[in-house]
Amino acid sequence: MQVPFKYTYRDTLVHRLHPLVKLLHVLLTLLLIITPLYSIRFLPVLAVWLALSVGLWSLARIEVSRFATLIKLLLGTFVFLITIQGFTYRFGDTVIVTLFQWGYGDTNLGALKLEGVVFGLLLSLRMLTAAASLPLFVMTTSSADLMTGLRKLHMPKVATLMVVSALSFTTLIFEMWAFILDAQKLRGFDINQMNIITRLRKAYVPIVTPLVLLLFRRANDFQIALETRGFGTPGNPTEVERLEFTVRDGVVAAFFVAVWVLCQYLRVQIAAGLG
Amino acid sequence: MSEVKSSGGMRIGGASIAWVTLYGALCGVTALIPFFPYVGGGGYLPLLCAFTALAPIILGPVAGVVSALIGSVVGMLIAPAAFPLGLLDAILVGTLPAVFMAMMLNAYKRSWFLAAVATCIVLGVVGMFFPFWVPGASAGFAKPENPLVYWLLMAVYWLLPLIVIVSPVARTLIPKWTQGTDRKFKYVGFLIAAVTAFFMWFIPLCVPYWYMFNYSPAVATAAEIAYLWWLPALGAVVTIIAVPLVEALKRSGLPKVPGALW
Repeated sequence: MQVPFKYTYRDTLVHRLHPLVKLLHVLLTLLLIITPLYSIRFLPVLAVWLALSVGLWSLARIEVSRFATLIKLLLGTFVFLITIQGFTYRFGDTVIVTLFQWGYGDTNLGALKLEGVVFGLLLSLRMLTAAASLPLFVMTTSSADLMTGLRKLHMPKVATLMVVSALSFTTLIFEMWAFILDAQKLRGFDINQMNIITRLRKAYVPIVTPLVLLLFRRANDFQIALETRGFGTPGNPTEVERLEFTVRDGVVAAFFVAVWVLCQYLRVQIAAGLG
Repeated sequence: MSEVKSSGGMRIGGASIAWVTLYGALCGVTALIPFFPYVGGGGYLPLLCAFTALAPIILGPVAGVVSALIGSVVGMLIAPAAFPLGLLDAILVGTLPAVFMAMMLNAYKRSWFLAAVATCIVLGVVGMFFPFWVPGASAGFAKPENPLVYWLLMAVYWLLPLIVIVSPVARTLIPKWTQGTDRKFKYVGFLIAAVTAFFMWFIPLCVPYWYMFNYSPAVATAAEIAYLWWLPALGAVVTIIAVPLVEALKRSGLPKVPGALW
């Protein structure tokens, strides 16, 4: 098990941006994606925002292979969306291939329609646009910066600590998971040799049970560490590194909002054109 | 003399925040493990769904739900492919199994019972009409060719849970079996609770995506049929993990969390 997207330090403009500006990018992406985009003519709306995200990936000097990993992970969903829309799309007449006849309403579910495939591609692009923003945030924001960013959003201290600590503890869990897997292998219990059904039926109990018990014992140590450091005392904690919201951050945030407004303008214009 | 104030923030629902955090981290890591294909989506549902459903059993209802939310947010950050719609997915895919499981295991308490009944009714209204009737044709959605079949299948995901919740099964038997010592009944109790909770999960898991990705009623009906076996299978996996885990925790000597089932 490996984490495909994790923080990597680099001295780039994107890494130096205030975490709230990067969070704004994630939020604006979500807001853009949930607006209804039901025709291929809306393609420019998504293309503009995706171009912005790809530009940020490039500015952050993140390897192309990472973006390829993201596409590979989403490939199954894309194939599904394109196939399903291809066969079930109601507004298409251009049949690419007919596999069988199955009339459902106005459409033949056995015929692959070009318009449906194109619509499926649009939906896939929509999903890729949505999924491109989060890895960018994760790979360019350190835990300390994330904590400061969440505190600036006035998130409760406890919630901030829990999210950031849980994120940091993922490495520990990988180690413990691997440790227990090795221990079980020594006892002749090899999860990798099992098929999916056996794995679901038998594999997780001998791994999960010791993992949770070990985890809670570690959690007791963590609780003591928190209490001895005075976590939970009233008042605001101090910061090791102060993160100031600079003019550069303001300019970049304004740029994100401007691009988002441009996308919305395009969307409204296209919707008006569609009548 | 200065006043000494208590922090009061070191526990959530009776569980220490360290436990909630570490269980959240475990849930987050399991977001990387594909568990079941996402019927009607093409992607995968991560093992996280089973672990967040286990959270209310291990940590109690409140801490369990908080832990599930933390785990989903962490999962979203480290495995964005499992949560393509970001925070929306973190809530729908990651957190809701814990919420519904907490409801099912605590339906014998008045407040949880009322919340569960209200949830089922809201789910019913949404599931029966959204998106194929409301907003319907104005948003490009056709009506199912056979509405009766569609509604009957949809009823499995809200009416069946509602019947279980208002019946003695959820009000008496599930708490008796899950909190009892008889291993056989423990399995049965957890299985009924998990399957019912997952059935409740179907509508918020699928309907938003049908709307966002313009699914046809034929695909929606196919998903309704596919999940009829898929969700009980997921419930069975949760039960298989839950019972030995609960028994191990009981014997572990760790301090018990109030509201947890061990």
